[in-house]
Amino acid sequence: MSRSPKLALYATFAAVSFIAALALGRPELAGLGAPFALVLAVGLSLPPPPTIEASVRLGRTRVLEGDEIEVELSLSAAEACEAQVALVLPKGIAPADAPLSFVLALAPGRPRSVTTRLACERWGAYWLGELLVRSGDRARLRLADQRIDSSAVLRVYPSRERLQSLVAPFETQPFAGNRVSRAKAEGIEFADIRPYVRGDRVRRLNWRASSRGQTLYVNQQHPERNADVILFLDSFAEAQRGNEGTLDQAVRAAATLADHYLAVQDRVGVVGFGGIVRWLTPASGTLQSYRIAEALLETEVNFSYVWKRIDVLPARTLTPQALVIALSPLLDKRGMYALVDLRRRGFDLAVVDVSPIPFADSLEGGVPDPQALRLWRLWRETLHLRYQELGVAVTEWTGGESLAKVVEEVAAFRRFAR
Amino acid sequence: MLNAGKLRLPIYTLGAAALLSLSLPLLWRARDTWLPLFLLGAEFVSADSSGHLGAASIVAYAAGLIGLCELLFWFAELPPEASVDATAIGRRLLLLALSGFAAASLALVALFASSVRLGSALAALLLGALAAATLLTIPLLLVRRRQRS
Repeated sequence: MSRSPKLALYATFAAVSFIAALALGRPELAGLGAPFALVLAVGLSLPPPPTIEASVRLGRTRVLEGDEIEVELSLSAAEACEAQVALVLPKGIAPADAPLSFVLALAPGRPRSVTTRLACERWGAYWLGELLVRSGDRARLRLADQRIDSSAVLRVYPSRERLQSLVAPFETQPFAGNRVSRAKAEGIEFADIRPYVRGDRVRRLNWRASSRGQTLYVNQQHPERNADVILFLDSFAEAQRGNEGTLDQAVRAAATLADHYLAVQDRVGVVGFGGIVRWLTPASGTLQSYRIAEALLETEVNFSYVWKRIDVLPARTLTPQALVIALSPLLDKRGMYALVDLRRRGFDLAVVDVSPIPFADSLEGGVPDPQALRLWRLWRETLHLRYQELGVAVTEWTGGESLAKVVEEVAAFRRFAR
Repeated sequence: MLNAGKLRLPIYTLGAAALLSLSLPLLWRARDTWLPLFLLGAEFVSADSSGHLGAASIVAYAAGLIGLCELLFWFAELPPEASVDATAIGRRLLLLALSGFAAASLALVALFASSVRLGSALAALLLGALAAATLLTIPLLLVRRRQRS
């Protein structure tokens, strides 16, 4: 409990008035100071500010980036008082044209509720519900400030983009799926013919080829299989300005790609390769979609000097013949070497370079040195060429562009490289 | 007694300074209302020195001064862009009216008490002690009533 500035002022003014009245022999001054003394006497004799009970209830606890949610603040007090309450928002959550602070008159035993709207500007898991509450006695001479932490967790999932096509993996897995495998077995898509051997089913006989060749031939098909896709997020470093950074874009891209690959029955895994290495083994289905969404929320840049290689990843994380789509700003050598290492180990790799160049100008509006920027661009182009020499599709993606365009570019490079 | 004509300039100057200083807490939402309050007090002393102010003027000045201070503190306390409950506004206005009324009544009582002329010093001492005891009893009674309820 703290004293209001009013208390000191009123006490001083009353004392000065009374002393001046005595010293100058002017009773009018006592009349001027008496009301201030009365406010002090009555105000301090009243009970101290009551303790406020407050809670926060979220309209929804799981939302997508850009969504708005309704938040209900409930306050109650044992005695009648006026409470000022302010909701403290974490970075990434903003008020949606609604007030964040309220002045409420509370009655004893009658809880009051107010609602406000919040805009979820950035993905992440947020502890929402920190309230700053100020109450006072009736005369507002004594004030009580409280910080109330409510345990409301809001999960804001990254926004998704609609993609028309996906980067097709070179190899498929032995499980049934929606992709036409390059292998020959039973399926729908015609692949080839071969001579009949004992045990082949009669329905697979190719009568036209058999009559022409005077021996029996059977059709071979490409089977429908699924593929393993590993989304490799380089989180060693990021370029950031304000609330937006390369990691934000990479996470949004990963969420989009994960959803689309899971929709076509592929198994999707996630590797967060940075100061802290996180992984999610490949799996398919709706449950995996939720798992990936949760895993992506934990992705962040953790500063570290430790040199890490992909050996730190468990073997089952990077499954054989998996397509690895790396989302990297290509800023940290550890991330760059890890990608080269992956390729040299025979992984089917595609790199989406989440360009840090748009973030090059500083927050203060300073323009980077053009010569330095040019050298940086040249260095990055050389790096792209080195990856391409290894057979890796590399595409630069600036946040303003559609991810679909980048996916098309990667797919086009892979068609050409093949 | 001072010459009223000579005091006119300092009265106007103090009045103007008090009004200007009122803009400080309003513009900067500062809780510091010391300057306007003491300048207005000095203005009152100057005006009273120039000639006897009527009882009505003193009572109105006292009520106005406390009302002004309450309003300034209320303004400084309110968070900007806050949504204020209508009941809270009603309660505040009621408190303001009560403060003004109590201030006017007390100023009147103080003026009346100061106008009483007692012949003996013993009677003056007894009356003074009674006034002080009454002043102290009011908050005590209020506290007790609160504890009982």
